Amino acid sequence: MANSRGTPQSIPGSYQTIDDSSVPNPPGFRLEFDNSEFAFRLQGTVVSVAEPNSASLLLVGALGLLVLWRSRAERVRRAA
Amino acid sequence: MRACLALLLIVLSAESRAALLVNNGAAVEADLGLRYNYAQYTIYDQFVLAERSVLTSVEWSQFDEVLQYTGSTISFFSGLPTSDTLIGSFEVVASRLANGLDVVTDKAGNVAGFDYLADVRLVLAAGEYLIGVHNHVTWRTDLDGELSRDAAVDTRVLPDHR
Repeated sequence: MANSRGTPQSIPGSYQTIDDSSVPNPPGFRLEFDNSEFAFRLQGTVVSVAEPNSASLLLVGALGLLVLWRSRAERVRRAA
Repeated sequence: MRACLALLLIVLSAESRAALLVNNGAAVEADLGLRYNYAQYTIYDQFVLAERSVLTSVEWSQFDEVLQYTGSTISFFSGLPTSDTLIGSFEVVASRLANGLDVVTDKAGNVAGFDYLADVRLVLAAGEYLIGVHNHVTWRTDLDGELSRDAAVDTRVLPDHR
């Protein structure tokens, strides 16, 4: 399962590579700390209480009105 | 009441659509010597998550010689890559599409750019991490023919030829 090919020895500065072609079959890893090289994107979802946006507020308001209307209708029905 | 619950679900689901959490930049059209496909190498880079998140996909760009792609190992680490810092590792077969980029290398001549996309699922707290990508290929050819005789051989056991 582990995929750590080789053990990093040090990371001087902000960028390091040890894939020196003069070293035959070096331990296989390369660390990239230069943001312009390894072009990757990560997608996913933030796990937190979402900030309400206007559409959400409108829907929650509509829900509230619907609940109020239903309860009032129920009271009227029981009173009749 | 059922209508209320349905509307509430719509509200909640609208808040949980996948979004771009980390963008490490576009591919650079230059021979940077990144070896995603070689037996001994894994490409690592660090990234920062500002909030607790569920990672659902990884997309990356790279330049490939002519090869037969069979899969990738995508790993996440909480620090420098060791077995102790390994958080999760995924064996995936990514979708692979040519992106139209092109690099001329001294060893392999023209190599074409590809965008890879793979699904993962990993919950990570806010913080700094490293991601590692290593590709598995079943054959690879240089334009000079150096490795053409190795067709159908898994390059995971081949020495680096650079």
